[in-house]
Amino acid sequence: MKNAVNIGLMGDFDAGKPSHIATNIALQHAADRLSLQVKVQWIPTTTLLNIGGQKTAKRMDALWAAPGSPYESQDGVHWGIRHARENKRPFFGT
Amino acid sequence: MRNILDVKNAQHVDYDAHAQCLVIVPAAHPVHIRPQDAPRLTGEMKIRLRPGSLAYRIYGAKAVEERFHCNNELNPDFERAIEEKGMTISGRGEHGEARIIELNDHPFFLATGFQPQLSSEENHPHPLIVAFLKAARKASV
Repeated sequence: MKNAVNIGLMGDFDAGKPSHIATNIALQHAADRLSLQVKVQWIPTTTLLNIGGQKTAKRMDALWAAPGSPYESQDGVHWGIRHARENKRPFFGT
Repeated sequence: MRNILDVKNAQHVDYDAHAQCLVIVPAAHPVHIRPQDAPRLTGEMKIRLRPGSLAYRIYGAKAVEERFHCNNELNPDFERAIEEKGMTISGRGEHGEARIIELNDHPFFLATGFQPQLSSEENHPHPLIVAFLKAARKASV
């Protein structure tokens, strides 16, 4: 079992949004509890409509649809959710 | 919802409030006393968990309090359809509203109407987030 995981946060990161900052911090809290290294990467929602963003998402061990509706691209987030569903990748939406 | 229910015009109120087929709608029972400009669902609210569900197993409890910061919720008209398509409404609010939804036959696929990240603390990581990372670790093997 690896001791590091890659988490893709699908969302349009905004440092002014407390829920976005809280997401990064909460992941670190949980990782510390598990003695796990967590590598967090925000994936802008519009990039999930193209191959580059989709490749990034596919590399992730799990995907999290971040808070902050409306997304810049709802279709991009839907692509990610579908990818997680069809490929049995862990998915979290909050 | 568009893909699982095959409802191609399923819409979320934040994108088009006048869409014909709104799956995500404004919360029916907003919190009465809340700060100005705060979303309809703000603050701590009780959630009953469905025995046997993933959420129930993770929390190890029948009911929990969670922190909300959200305007919207699942339109109850779609509950039966999504349960027939292999999802479970595993957490419900005071008026029976869907608060946690999960996909059956999947290692970890769970969505909440509240924001667990808001109540995580250094010494009290949120159990759903811990469970999510455990699932990610398992998936990475």
